[in-house]
Amino acid sequence: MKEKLKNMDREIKRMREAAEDLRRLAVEAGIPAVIKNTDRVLASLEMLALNISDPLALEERREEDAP
Amino acid sequence: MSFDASRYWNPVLETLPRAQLEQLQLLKFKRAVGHAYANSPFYRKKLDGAKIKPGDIETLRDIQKIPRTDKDELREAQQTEPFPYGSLLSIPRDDVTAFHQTSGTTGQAVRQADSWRDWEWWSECWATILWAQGFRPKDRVFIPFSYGVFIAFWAGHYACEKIGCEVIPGGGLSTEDRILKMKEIKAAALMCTPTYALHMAEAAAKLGIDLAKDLNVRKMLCSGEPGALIPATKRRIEERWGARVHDHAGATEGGAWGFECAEQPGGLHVNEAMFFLEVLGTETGQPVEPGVKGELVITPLDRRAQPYLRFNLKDTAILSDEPCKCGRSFRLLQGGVLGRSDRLTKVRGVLFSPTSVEEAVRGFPELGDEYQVILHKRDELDEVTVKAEIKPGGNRSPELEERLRQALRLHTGIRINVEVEAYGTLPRFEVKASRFKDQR
Repeated sequence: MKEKLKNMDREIKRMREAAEDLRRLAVEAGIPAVIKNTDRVLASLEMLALNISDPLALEERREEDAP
Repeated sequence: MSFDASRYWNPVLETLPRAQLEQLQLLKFKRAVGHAYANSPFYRKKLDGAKIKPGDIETLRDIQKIPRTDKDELREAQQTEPFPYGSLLSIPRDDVTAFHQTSGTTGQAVRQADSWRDWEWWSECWATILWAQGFRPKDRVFIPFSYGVFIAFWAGHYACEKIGCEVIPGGGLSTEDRILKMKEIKAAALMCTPTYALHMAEAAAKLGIDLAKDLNVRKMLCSGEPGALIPATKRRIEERWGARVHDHAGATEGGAWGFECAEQPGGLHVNEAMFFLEVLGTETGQPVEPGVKGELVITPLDRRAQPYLRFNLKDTAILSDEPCKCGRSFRLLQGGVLGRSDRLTKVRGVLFSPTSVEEAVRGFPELGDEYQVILHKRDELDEVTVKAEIKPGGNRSPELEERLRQALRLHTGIRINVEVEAYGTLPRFEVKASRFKDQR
């Protein structure tokens, strides 16, 4: 399960980077349709992070702290 | 296994071992305090006043150092700029996408700002609840709600869409039209207050409709009042509708924090992955042990536009340390929300909760659904009078009143006057009921 979570987390981070890049481009080009739709994508990605990335980060920190 | 066969909306969070769940709460609490301190002028002032910096929160025990937040403080903060949220607003004004407000049942309504991100959070919390109660993709869900400024079932609507349910917004219709619409489109599920569920049953009977036989509603989420976990009320609603009824607890400030799962364990799970809930002694303000009644204080851990740290819900409950058969590691509140601490009052020296009347009254099949609790003075002594209604076609009698009097004494520990009135004489309510009057 942990491997699956790691893979999901990697994809979430990749999507977030892509969405942030897209938003930057949209701001430069002045296209509200892309900016605002990307804001929604980013909000959904944050929910994915709450669901997957947060508990995974905790698990990884526990492993690092383990003697 | 198909995804909709999963018992959990997110098994990762819902079955986290307790120790990890608490670590997650601490991580999120620190983040919430950091955000509030950096972005909320209200909390910056409050934390500075208490000489607390975000870095001072190192353990869950440290949370106690943060002063609690009361609704009156929120009202006061909203008198400041920027209008209309005042110093509670913690994101740029441009990012606010939704305005809602509290129901205003306890005074001036508090305005609530949400961003699209927070709105996603609301529906995420609701999705956890609906999934736990058996709502699934393709369920046709009817929401008989006014869709106004009161937040109520708005997030439930969006969560249904997120899950993949088919949502029918039942706003702008009379109660009778709502019943007919549910019948026409074969609605499978419903969400409303327990009071309104009973009100609709009464209206359906007048239309000659048997909800259990003539409609297809088989699951219901009831919220806004404690009724769905009061056994006699739950039984009444389930019998009238032929449906399974599940409770949910939430608040405009606190979010959608509590839910009864499909196992119907007689209590509410606290979504501890998204909220930090404390049960504190009403006198001491210190955490009470499981099994002891206390006052609820909540911190929504992932809310950003208008965050809350240690908000006094003014609800009372008893934490249980018994595990639930559903397998969630989220703890249960035994019997759900038991009442409002601001409605707890002493009557002739005995602590009296008006909520305790409901189980007694609704335990009588001869009586209708409505009742009133009136506190008044007689010769300088506190008196409580409960007014109830006989069911249509039933007979009022001194013997029935005496049995009700005895049942009330058993449930509340005090002597209560009883008046059983004719059917249809007491006020009806469509959203949150107001059955308690203190005339002292």
